[in-house]
Amino acid sequence: MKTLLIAFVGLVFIQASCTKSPTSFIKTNTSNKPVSRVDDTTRDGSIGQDGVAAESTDSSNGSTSSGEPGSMDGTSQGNTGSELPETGVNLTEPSLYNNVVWKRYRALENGMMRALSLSKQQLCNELDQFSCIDQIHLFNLGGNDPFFAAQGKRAADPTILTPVAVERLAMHACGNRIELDKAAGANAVVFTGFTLNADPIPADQISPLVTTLYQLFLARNPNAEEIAKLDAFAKQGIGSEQFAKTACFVIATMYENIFI
Amino acid sequence: MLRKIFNFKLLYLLSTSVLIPNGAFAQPAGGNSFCEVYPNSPHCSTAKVECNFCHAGPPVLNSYGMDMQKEFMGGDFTNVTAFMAALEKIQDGDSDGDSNTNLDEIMQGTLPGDPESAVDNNTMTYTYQEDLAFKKVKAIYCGDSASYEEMQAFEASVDKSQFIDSALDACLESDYWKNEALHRMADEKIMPIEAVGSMTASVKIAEYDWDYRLFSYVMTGNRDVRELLTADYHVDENGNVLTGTVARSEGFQLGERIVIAGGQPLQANRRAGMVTTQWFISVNTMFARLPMNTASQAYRAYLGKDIAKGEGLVPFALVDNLKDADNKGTAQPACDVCHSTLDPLAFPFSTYRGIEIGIDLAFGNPIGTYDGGRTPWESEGALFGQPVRDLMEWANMAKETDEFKMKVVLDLYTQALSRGPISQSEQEEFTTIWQSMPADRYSANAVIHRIVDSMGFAGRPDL
Repeated sequence: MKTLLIAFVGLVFIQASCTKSPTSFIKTNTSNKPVSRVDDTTRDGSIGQDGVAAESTDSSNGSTSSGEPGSMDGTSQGNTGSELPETGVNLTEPSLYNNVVWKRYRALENGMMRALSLSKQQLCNELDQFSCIDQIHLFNLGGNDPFFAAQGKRAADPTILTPVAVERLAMHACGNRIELDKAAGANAVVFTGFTLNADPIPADQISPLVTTLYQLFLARNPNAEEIAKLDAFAKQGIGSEQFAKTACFVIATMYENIFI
Repeated sequence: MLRKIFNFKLLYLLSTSVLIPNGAFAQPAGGNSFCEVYPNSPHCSTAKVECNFCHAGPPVLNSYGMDMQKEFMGGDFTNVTAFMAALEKIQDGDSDGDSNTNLDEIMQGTLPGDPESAVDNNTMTYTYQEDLAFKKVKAIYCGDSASYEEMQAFEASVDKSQFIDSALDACLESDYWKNEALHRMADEKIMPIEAVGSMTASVKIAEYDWDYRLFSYVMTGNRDVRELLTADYHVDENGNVLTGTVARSEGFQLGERIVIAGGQPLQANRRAGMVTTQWFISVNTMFARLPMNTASQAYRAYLGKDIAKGEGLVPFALVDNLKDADNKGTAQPACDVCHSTLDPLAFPFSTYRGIEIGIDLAFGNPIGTYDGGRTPWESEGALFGQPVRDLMEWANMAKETDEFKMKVVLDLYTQALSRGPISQSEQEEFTTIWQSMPADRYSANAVIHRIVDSMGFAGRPDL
């Protein structure tokens, strides 16, 4: 009964997520062949938000960065999956240079917990009681449950529901952190120096927040282009809280945070 | 009819000769002959010629097997010279139509009868990326994401290789690695079923917690991974090594909840690590007199040979009264293809008791115990064509094989990259790693360090 309930809850939320998800990090594969996961990477092995190579160099720290955030209306700023760049590489063939590793459930969970200073209980629970990681979305986040689900092995590659699961996790986590920081007021731990109830957003608070989120999720500083994109989005007339949640969500669900 | 006879003869030839590495029987030494023709083929140096070299799935031939069949038509199947000539005659063809000649495929270690098994034409060079290696180490072995502060410290470090090594060593001592990642790696070997193997199982036939603890113990702390097949001890929930038998944690129960086993009742001198725990014997042998499922699972889980896929078939010449020992009709040619390997593989397990209904289930703890009189077959066993007298000999032979080393490394490699080696250069790295195990004192940690140091782990193509 409990298993059925969990499955039902999972399906309900998956369906809900499918209608709400503003972005998706995996290209649609219409060829019935594995999509190359490396040939469309950048030099540092990471992949652009829309599956297209994106590379830039952060002159401030010399590090190479990639994976520009998609736009907030569900389209990307760059090429879409159907507008692949002319690389001369057949992107539908399995790659011989396949060295991108999927950051699976526990690494993703621990990374998000630390990034947002959330406990395991605070991170993500469907219906406030079933762990997103350990129960509802485990398999689609790269885990397996041999004991109750007879899953002797994990998925070798992300499944078609992996984007949904990652987005559920990020949406819960970002939302929960914002609620906690709003309640904490001056004692906020992540959205510090950012006025969550301001409208319009104070212009001088955008770049620091974006920088903080990049550091927390991606362990690096954003480059100028990345800041500019979110800065432009922030100036589209949305409130501070909405911007904070969206920026958190977008950065947390970037390829760079899901593949290494 | 002729075709049937031919197919059988070819199958017999290939399964008993091509697949037998040392030509143990009165059959042409096809495996040796193949490697005489192609001594530098990876099929002869890093792996054994498997059924899928010629078969889509025994007895069905693949395109390369069919080409061999054509060349053998009318030939003398016991004639090694004819066999070698046939190999050479079709080597310039492209049996599977993947644009690579059979010879190229043989020399690159791919399969000439499988178009999906392609020659690696990758001529790209790679550069090892230390930052990538560090991030992967954190994710794969610590179950964590590298933080901004850690990346800053990494960038500031003078000896980045040492930085990665230190981080890896710390990860390999983490609770995540020992009690989660390794457990998940062991799932397919242990095959737990909560309803019959947990501490709260509805029908408890054994406790798999012991298996997970033993696996993690052997695979950590620079211990000798060969103890996966030879450990004569168990590890309790506090990490203590126990050498004696372990009593049931619960007594016999019959009713809404049934408990017929628990603990580890097998005497130490009959233990063979993971393949003689009470759970392994109980869940695999069940009610069988000849525990073929137990043997095939041990073969698959620790030697990487899945008989159900036609892998590792090395027929052993049994005397007549041992063919189809348990009277299941397996002496028929179509069955004997696998059973001439499987049955002798299983004989050494046959003196370990499965689930046998009897009074001692209530007053003793018999499942998984040794009973030398349970069957007459124990001493008739064989592994890779070599006779073994009992399971101790079976395990001691198995742990020294290349197949065991390759399986250990493949498990760890796949755990890291979610795939095996896919290019020629990765295959070479893979071979170096498993061949280094004796020098590395069979330490899983050493294997992992070598994997992390490999270009397959953190190399990026030079574009």
